[in-house]
Amino acid sequence: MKRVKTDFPRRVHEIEHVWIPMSDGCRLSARIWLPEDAEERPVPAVLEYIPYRKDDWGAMEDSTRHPYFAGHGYASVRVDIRGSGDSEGLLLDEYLPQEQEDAVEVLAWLAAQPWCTGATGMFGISWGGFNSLQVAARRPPSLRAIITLCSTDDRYADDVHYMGGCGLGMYMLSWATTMLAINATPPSPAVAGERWRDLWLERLEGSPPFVEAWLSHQRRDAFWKQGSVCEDYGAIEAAVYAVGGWSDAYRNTVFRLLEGLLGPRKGLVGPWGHQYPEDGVPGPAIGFLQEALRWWDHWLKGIDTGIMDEPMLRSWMQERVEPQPHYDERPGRWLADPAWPSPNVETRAIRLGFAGESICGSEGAGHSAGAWCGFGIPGDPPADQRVEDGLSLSWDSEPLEERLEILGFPEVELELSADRPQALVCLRLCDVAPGGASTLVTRGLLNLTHLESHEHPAPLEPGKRYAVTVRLNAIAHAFPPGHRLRVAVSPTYWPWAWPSPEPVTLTVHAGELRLPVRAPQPEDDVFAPFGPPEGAAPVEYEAAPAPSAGRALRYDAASGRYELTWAEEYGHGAQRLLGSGVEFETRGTDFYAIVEGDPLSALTRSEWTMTFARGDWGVRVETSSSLSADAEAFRVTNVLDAYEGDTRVYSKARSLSVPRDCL
Amino acid sequence: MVKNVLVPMRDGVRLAADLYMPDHDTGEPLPVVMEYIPYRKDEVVPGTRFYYDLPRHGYVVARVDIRGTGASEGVNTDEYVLQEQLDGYDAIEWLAAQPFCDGNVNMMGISYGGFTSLQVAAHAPPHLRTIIPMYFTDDRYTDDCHYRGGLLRKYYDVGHYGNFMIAYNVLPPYPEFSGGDWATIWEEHIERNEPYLLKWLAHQTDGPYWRHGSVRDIADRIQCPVFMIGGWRDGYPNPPLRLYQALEVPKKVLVGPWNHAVPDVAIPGPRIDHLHEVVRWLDHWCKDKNTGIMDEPPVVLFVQHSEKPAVDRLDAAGVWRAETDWPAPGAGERTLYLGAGNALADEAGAAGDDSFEYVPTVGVTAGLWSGGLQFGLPGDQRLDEAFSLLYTSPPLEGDLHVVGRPRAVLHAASTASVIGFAASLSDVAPDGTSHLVAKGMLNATRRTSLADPEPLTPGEVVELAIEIDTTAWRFERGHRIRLAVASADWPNVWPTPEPATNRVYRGESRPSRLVLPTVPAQGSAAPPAFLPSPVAMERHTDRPDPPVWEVVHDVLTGRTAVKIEEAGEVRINDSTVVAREYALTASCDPADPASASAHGRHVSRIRRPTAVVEGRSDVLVQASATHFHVTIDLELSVNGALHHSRSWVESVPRVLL
Repeated sequence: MKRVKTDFPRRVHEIEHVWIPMSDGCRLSARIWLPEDAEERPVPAVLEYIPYRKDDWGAMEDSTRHPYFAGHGYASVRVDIRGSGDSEGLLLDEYLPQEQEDAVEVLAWLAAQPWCTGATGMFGISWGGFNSLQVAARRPPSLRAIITLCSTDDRYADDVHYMGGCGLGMYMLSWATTMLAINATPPSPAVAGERWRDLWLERLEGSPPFVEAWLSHQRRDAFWKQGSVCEDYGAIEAAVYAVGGWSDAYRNTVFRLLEGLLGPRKGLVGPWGHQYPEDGVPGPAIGFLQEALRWWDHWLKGIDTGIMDEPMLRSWMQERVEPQPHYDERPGRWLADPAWPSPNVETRAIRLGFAGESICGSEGAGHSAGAWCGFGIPGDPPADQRVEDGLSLSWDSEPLEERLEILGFPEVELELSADRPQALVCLRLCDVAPGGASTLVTRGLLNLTHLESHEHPAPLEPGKRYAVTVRLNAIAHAFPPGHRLRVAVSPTYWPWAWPSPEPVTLTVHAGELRLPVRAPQPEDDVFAPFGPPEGAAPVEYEAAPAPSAGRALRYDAASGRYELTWAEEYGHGAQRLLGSGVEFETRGTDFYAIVEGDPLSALTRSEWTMTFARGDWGVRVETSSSLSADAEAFRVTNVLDAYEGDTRVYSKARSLSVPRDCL
Repeated sequence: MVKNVLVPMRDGVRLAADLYMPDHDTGEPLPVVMEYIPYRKDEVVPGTRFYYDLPRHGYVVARVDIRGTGASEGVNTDEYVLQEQLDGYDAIEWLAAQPFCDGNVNMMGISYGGFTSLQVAAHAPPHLRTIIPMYFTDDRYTDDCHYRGGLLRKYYDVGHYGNFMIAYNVLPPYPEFSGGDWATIWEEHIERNEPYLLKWLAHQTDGPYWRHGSVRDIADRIQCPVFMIGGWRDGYPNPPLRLYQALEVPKKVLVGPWNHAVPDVAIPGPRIDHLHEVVRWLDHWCKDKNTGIMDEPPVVLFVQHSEKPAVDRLDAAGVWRAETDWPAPGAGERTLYLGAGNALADEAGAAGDDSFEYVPTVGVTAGLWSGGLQFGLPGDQRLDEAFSLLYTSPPLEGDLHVVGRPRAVLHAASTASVIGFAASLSDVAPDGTSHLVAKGMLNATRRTSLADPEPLTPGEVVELAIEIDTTAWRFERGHRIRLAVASADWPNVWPTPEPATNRVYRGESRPSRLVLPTVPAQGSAAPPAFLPSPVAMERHTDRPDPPVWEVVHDVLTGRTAVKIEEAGEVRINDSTVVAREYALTASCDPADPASASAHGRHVSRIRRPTAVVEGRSDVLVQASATHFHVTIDLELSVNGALHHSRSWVESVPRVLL
């Protein structure tokens, strides 16, 4: 249970809104929490910079963290990105140079404030974690350190659009639709005054559906390299604390950053989903804000907190669990590694007993995948893998004679051939219990036309044997003795992977599994576990009961059609902030359908509704998007409707056809 | 056509019959073909080939409503009762004495009409010339919609036949055909007819109730020639060849790849013009014409070949094969032993065992038991195989022809005292897809007797001889033979109540094995050439209003539901439209198999300018560890106003199943 802390060393003052002017005249809206006596005793500033509406949508989350930092002697700043929330301008896509340039100006403005010592930090989860890295790579003079959580350093490899060069059927559209809705919400009249409606209409007219651009770049081109700090790790000089969770989509980043960055760095990976570690589910959640303070104190105040003397990487070794739709906690223990790659990890190669077997892809192989990005919501974890194992070509080891712990990126190398020029491979590593239950350990995808390069794909030669190496997502897992390792190969993985245009049969001639085996180390037990989770008191609010979430797979046996529905994903009901009186509600449903044997039947649809109201002011935004493909092209449709009260003030439907590019 | 001829029985009750006569009546007496079923003769779909084609060839078709059903007088409380058989006898003798009849009466019918053909024939009515049973049983306990291997089938009863008969049996006769007595007949049906399914559920073990009407036991009483027709994807694949061996009269058997529909409209094809063969048969026996049919091989079977296991397909790959006798000349057996590493091998290897968890929702890819649903072929087995114990042979070095009844012998133990074992035989293609060839099940508590079950002692190893359904299949070179062992075939079979972990033993001392009936590559005779069916068919998914057959898995609770829905509407004459709806929802929580449930609903609606009559029956079976709790609600309304309603609420103890 998270401890609510109200007693801080310094009394906190909250500036609800202040304009930060950009050099082009656009103004960004900031909310700042800082010690009351900051003018007399200046403090460093830490910035969180995201598009998630600080006055309403993000208010509850923000209020648990920013006052906490402020109470410990920081100006903790929350800025709405240009075009979002109360800030002026338009938000035309994720992570554009404009966004990063604005941040550099924001940091300069903060450093110049009379209450600021001139030292700044940046932090954030997801979008805020991405831009912390991207801004750090621009080396703003005041920026000393960042904390990047659940983020990526490689926008093509590990983000919501592509995975292993495969298009993500799950999330790419859903996320785009969410952003289409967010970008279609107006600034608060309390800040914008009478101009709110003009600014709103400007946003409605000027914000494109992001998915159009994402789909137009199916290979790893300059579009994705922009904002991918892996292109030049050396550009980052600020100290980087990278945090991730095994249930989250972005855990690979922590390991790549530790390996690639040249400056001071630390990594932390817990069992969590896409959440701050003090709220992480599956647990155990940890006292991450205490840890963050030790980081800020070291880098922004020069206090010796000892944090940089500790192991570079702390990670949670997960025990094997039964496949279940939800875990409150994942049993395990904290590990300590001095560096990454870790001297404690060695590669063990295991020959896979494949010898020319074939696997004809089934569109059903992938419906037990669970969420691409876990949020600690029931239904997120992958289900029992036996169905997918049965629809895949599987290899099982003998039962393990002793416990086996792995940490890092398992790799699978296959010699394989495909019967079509366009094919993908999904590889899953499972832990099979003596009773037969198959628990997913980790997985990887590869678009086989990207064998040589994600930037220059080429069609396959049907029947030709290729050596294919697939790096699976990073993981820490302890296989109990008596359990078996299972490696499962499939040419389909819907709805994660958009299916290849024709049904594919893969033939696997040989294979090797390379496991990052880590022996338990005495250091693991030396370092104290983290403190208990704590945070500042959230703003007061009331919430209606959450609509019941639904995650159901429907299989029409008569036609072979699979339908996966994730209903009411957002997980809570209408909320009202007692202080400002703002009411808001977000609802969303995602839908995925495909017919067995017909990859061109793949369809995803995503619908979102966002409502905001205060007094007699009220707006509602509805988006509905769909994505499908024929053999030649993807077709994406976006519908946006906006209402003031019950009057529809804007409606637009747009459709785009994008040729398939080796996808 | 002569509507509603009243046929007097020996006790004075009159059955109603429609007579389909040749258009140009020459006055010459003709042979009669009687169809004897409870499905309301006045609602026959116009144009049904059987009723119009046979008269064109010089036969009178008599469509008789069974006592207590449709327009017939009397009361109807169960299927296949002795009274019904005696009535059939009386109807034959009455028909033979009519001026339009030359003294030859035949019986022919699919399903219920196939059952009655055999059962009445066992009473040897003097004027019964031949019978042509199609898609029938000769054993009401082992091979019908109620039980399988001593396990409860039920879903078809709840969702289809057992349910719709409740509503059918209170719908009114048509006044214009039944005359002044129609209301009296209707009132008697409403007041005194009973649901069959409560009786079926009260008889969970084999015994006299089921032996009655099982002609397998009394095949020698059948005195007339028999022409049997069956299908491999029908719910009754075993009786035709079994009964062929038992009969001591002139006989023929024809088994196609078909489901439970007559061979000119069955899936999968090839569909044939079976009425052409029927006329050749009748002409031979009734008109003494030399049609050559009795010179042709008596056993004709369709040997299926491997293909992609598509659920909605119109045709099956394969070839016709003929034999001069059954068992076929040259027939043998091939035994494959369950081995270590999930192998299926020619030799029994070292001793060992494999365990599997009882997952009660296994079976959703098996297809639907075929007793009248027009869809439901098995799909790719891999989804179910994921939760089964698999034994797979190496790729075959040559083709293997399996024709007959395979069996699996398992040495097995369970942690439960009540558990079933399912043995699925499938053909694994080189690309990994798995096509179900045939399946068998046995309730282990009935391993020594279907009549006197005894619970298992947990952990004790028992030998189970599981008969797999009769089939004809060519395993192609390079393909692999697979035996999948599970403890469920849901929703075709009701899950047993206890969670369990089961163990299958193998090796020389406990030689668990698969025994395949094999035949030479070529049949002992040349197969005849059939005329193709004149009826055009379309795939179900191409129909404007396709049936629903879906499996819904709730990710959060783990519960699985199978939902089946079908609806149709037929204009049976200028002023009458009959609409029917059939729905079944079967639910199972894999963590609590005892609590499985099934809810069926049937609606029959007769719309006429003068009135709308609607019969609606709801059957809910909610199981617990110890009981089946059954609720039946029947409502009959006229022009929207409730005319009659009745409910039955019963709790039936589970008898080791």
